[in-house]
Amino acid sequence: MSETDVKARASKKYVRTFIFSMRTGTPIEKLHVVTKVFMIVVLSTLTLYMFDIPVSRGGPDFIGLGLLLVLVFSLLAISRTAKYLVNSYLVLSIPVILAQFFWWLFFSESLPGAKMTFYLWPGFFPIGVSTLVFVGTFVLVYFKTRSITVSLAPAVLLWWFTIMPSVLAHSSLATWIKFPLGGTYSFSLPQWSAYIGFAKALGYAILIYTSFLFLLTTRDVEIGGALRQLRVSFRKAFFVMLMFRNLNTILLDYESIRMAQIARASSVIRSGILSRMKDLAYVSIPLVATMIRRSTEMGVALYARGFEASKGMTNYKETKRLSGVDYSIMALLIAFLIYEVILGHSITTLFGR
Amino acid sequence: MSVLEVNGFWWKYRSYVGAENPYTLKDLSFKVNKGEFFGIIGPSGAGKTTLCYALTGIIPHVFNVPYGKEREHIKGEIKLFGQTLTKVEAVKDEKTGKTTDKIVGMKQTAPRAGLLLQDPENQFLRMDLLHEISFGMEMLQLPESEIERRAKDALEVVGLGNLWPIADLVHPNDLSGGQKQRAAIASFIALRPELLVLDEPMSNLDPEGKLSIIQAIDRIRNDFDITIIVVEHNPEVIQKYADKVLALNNGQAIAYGTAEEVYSQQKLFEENGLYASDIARIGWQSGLTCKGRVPFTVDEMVEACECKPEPFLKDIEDYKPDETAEEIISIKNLDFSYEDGTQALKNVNFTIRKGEYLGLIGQNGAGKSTVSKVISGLYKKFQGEAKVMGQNLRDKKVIQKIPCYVGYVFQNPDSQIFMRKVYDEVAYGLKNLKVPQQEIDQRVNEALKSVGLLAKIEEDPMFLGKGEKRRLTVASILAMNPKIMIVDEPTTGQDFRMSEDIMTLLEDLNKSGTTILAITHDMTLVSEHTKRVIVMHEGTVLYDGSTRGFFANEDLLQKSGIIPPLAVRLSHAYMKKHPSSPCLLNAKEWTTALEKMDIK
Repeated sequence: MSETDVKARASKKYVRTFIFSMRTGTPIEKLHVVTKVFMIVVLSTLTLYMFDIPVSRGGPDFIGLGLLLVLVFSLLAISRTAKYLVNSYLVLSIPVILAQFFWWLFFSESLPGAKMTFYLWPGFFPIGVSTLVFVGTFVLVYFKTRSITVSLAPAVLLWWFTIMPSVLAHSSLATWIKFPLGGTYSFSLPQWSAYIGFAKALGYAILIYTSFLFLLTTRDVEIGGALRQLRVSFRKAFFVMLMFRNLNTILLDYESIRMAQIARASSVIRSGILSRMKDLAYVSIPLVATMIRRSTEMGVALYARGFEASKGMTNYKETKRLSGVDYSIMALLIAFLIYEVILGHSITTLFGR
Repeated sequence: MSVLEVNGFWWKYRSYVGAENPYTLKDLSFKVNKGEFFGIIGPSGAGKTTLCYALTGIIPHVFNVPYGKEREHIKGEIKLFGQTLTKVEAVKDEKTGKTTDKIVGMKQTAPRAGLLLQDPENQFLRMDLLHEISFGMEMLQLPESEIERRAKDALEVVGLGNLWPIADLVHPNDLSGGQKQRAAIASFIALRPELLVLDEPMSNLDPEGKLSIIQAIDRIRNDFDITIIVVEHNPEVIQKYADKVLALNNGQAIAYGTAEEVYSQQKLFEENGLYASDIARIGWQSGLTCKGRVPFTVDEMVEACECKPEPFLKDIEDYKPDETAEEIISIKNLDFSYEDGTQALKNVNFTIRKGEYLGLIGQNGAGKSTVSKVISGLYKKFQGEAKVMGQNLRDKKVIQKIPCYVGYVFQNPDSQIFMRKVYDEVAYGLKNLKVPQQEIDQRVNEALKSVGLLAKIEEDPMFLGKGEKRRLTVASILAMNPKIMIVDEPTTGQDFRMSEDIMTLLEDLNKSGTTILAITHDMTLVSEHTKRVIVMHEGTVLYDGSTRGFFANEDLLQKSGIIPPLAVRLSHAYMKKHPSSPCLLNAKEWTTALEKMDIK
């Protein structure tokens, strides 16, 4: 390679991936896609196992999970893709992770040492005066405000106060039919719940961000090449490749369509969740129209380049060999898997909790 | 020797819902000889793209016909390289002995024939340029060394040789408009085709980009002895390069012959709404001739003009902006950089006042779209000062209200139509602004009336024609009563009548008080309609002033990389002989000038 070629390559700092782009020349770029897939599988197995270690055996491997999360974020940082995650999906993933946390915080009565702290639910869904109060309040406020969030709040509050006093809850005046919801639920905060909740939240964060790591750092040629190495026919490999490649195109289309929507005042007046969801649904009309046009023309392009009649495909810089780094990473992951799952150790207990 | 022979060919697409489709191609017959440059012209919906599909076997192999109905959908025959490409024949089944109609002919035309579509983005199949170019060769199972050699050569031929070292890192969609088109051409050149069919390869490109593409196509025709078939609106290209021209309308051939034969038929162009060159239009209007026909080139026109006495039209007033009018947009020391560090705008300054109709021009990547996205509040991370109606765009509250002041009509109508009813589409923005229902009804009606779509108020926008969709997008912005309307490439992909239609509409809107900023590569449009231009070049404002002042200045034109329209080039050629004559901008001014000369 000549000096100018080297310079030209050095000036190209980012390369497009399935979603957004990653920095060139990083160790992540050099990893084989098989290693990345292997990493997702092992990390997911580990995660699912680590947050489910029963309390009798010391509980979730809290520190182990933390380490895995640090590992995933380091990989995102090395490939310089963390910023895309922060700008786009982090906001979406946080509520999911928090929901996990709170679910385990409150609905974990089976844990040892469960201590009832307060009472939330009578164990059935009441249909009667209380329901009428709920629906009535909601409808009335909704017609006034046209906002679901605003009308939900007073409806829940009123409903709460009409059913909660135990007299009303059990009287046939307030409740005509008791619609069972699977027994009595209780809000309890046993000593383990926050701990398990946190471990679960960590675990789901690892699962979500590992998948993103894959999408943020992989390109079509890697998938196609790996499938060829796995002896998948070139046609099938190509279609899998095309499907992933189109994620990137859809993302670009979405951005330009969303801009057209903003230009039509879709964000002028702060509106409720419903109208925001509606806006998102409206994007699908031009998005689908664009996708249909693209796919038709792609069919034409495939024919024009001889895909239909072709009997095989030359391997021109399509495949990549597994390197020493790939093998080492896989070996480390397997070792970790054996340590945690087969030998039943936990890093948290190692630190003496 | 003929490469392609079309004999009485008819085609209709299969219908998936309801009634049968009409024939898209009707009784076409013509020949294309080896090494020829063959031009196809015609208005939108004439069947040009369908013909390209038929000539390369995509019809009937990708767009197929229902079983047993072959004869209804296909009539006649197409021969490619001396063999039957498409024909319906009664074939006897050897096992059953039954005779059935079957489509016979070549199943695959690649790699001997290639087809380049209008939008190169839609035919990219890979995520890097290297594999995009090599894909067809991999399908042909060429050896690796041969693929590498040809891929490198192909990039050199189309003038993208500098991208070779990073070809495996560049995503084809990240190339500029002209580069994309050249990359798509390279992917076919590498296959060493004998015939290359190109469907409007130059729309979406700036004038210089157009020139470089056409020169690349002409060069490969000579270097590789390839036969070229090009669908193109631009009369200058066809007149200069095409050996033969076929004009289509409604699927039928309306003219077929040499470029000279076709382009001298005034009636044909006027009746069918075809693009004629400025020179031909001036010639037809003024009755000037050269070599016994209407002049085609600038030189021929200058020669024809010599029969007219001097002095030339002198009473042309230059445009002066109304300094007292209200400031709508004001931009000072504006800088903008993209996330990847590319600086798109450097120290940009300009003011737009109420009632102006101005053009924002410059090459692909000059910063036109970026600056207009800043003033419409879509790009927020800028440095410097940007004000709309005196309000600072740094203020979040102002940004949110921008759609009330600045209306942005995007380039592609398909990506900005959100509703399934014309009424709802126009009302969408108004509902977002919480306008009372009665007023919405009134504004929707008014907007649709001014774009001539009131009769279609209940229809689904998906089923509107190309030009109608364009007008609908204008109406949906118009209904929001913006102080300024930014129109991005209003005429791209539209035929002559549609372009005239939309430009007249914008002119009418301007006369009734709407300020209009048109971003465009179409210099004929700029010279005919705008009085002021802002010329962008590499992220800076190169010129801001009267359209005439810009087109008269040859140094500026060269620096900006903008190729002026034919009427302006005619003025330059004429001014060389008669330095006192003014720079006339368009066919209309030239015709008026020539008429006045007769009076003198």
